[in-house]
Amino acid sequence: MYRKNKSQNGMVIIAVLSLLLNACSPVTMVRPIEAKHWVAQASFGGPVVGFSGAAIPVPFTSVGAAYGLNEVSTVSARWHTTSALFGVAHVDIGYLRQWRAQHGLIPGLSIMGQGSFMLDKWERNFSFYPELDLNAWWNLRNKPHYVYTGLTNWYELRATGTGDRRQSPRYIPAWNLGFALEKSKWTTRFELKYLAPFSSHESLTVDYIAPGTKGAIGFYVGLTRKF
Amino acid sequence: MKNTIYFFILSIMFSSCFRLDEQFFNREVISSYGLDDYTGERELSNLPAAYDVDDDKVHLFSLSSDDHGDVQTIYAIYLGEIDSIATDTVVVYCHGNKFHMDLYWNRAKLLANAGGRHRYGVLMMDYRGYGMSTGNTTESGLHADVNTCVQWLRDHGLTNDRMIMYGYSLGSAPATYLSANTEALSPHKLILEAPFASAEVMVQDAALAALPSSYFTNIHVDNAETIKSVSQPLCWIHGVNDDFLQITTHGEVVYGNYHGEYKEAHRISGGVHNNVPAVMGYDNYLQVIEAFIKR
Repeated sequence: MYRKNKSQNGMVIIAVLSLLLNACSPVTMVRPIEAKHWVAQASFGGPVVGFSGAAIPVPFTSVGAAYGLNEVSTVSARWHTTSALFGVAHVDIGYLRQWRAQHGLIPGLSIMGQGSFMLDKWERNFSFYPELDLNAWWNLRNKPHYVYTGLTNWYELRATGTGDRRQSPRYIPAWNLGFALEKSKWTTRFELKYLAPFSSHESLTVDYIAPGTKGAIGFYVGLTRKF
Repeated sequence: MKNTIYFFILSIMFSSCFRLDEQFFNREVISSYGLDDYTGERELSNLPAAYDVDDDKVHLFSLSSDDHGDVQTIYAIYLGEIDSIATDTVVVYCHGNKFHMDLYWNRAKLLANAGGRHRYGVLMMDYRGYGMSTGNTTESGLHADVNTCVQWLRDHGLTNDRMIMYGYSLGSAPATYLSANTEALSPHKLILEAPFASAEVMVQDAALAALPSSYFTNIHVDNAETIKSVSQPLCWIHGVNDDFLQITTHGEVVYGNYHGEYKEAHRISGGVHNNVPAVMGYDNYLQVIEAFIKR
């Protein structure tokens, strides 16, 4: 693990929390839910950063709901509660489509398109970030639980950042690996992400924890209640 | 139910007031200054004794600083002969974001050796909220506190042509601002070591995305923009390996946006955020400072 000594904690806090949206989206939705049914969702976690000598996941939280349009399609909405605490209305709207169900060892596959919308109450700055997720899952034999993996593809539409500097990167992927523990009404998910694996974190204010000098490892927990 | 949800959303949006402005400043409150006797963390901790300053040249004092009616007591240290301020060249040293003047004491001592022992006067201050200085730190408070110190120097006879403004890291904000906007005095020259471009750059660097900084902080420090109004000669020093304020997104931007009468750059290979003078070699660093002041 690559660790740095970041001593300017105050600035680091700002930098860490500036990750509120960036590929740090909550636990991934990978399977459609039952047709004409609702679920409520909550997610907790974020990238793991070195802070004051410890490695901690940034505790981003969000709540949301999803509705099964039919057996293969689900729409979802999510409210980022941590963002709200900072006066930023941050909502994700998504549509998941199952491409194929699992057959033996061949995993079930799905694709999800999602948009993140943000608006702060201080200066009314608006942001929109599109995202495209590709997911695969395997149900565990004789169990309702499943494991999943996938690729989150997140896009920065702005070509320039502050001071008219060229924005780079414009595409930020994240790879995830998770496990879902299914009960009759509740599902608990544990997910690891490797965020922005192609972007160096060597010279950034934030001390990201990752196996090497690129990207960041994230850890997330999600809870879903079926209705 | 609908009304409840609506009320919940609105109440979060309009009652939430978490801002990171306070966390931006990494202060430490102390009850006394240790200077040479300070045993805590300090920058350039291996500074040789050859750069020590004479005890009778060290003057710790307090001033009353008024930031738009917010009056606070701030502490400052002058290295040199106070009676000679009317004829000496003085470096106003604006320190970085962390802790207080004890952390930067060796840096101030080093500057007091530029061009020879006690060749120039050096004034360093703790901004409000830092060290023994009272109050809460704010962006405008930084400007007010440094300007109060400059006012003190002017009251002791300093003139524009003998004043050198030095900003290190966070200190680059008041240093740049007071160079661009004349208040008590207009600095003759500006030295920036490891300056940061803006709060926005810091946010966007960390997020990898072009996020507005208003999502997290109301601080608008923007040296990259302010430097465009600076006409005085500029000396910029930055560690190529700065892992806190990276040279490409912070220092180079500030340097590139400067369009004044003269500028020089010193990109120090192997230098990180807080060790550039040591990596350069203390004498080499002092030669750069001295040459810039005398040119």
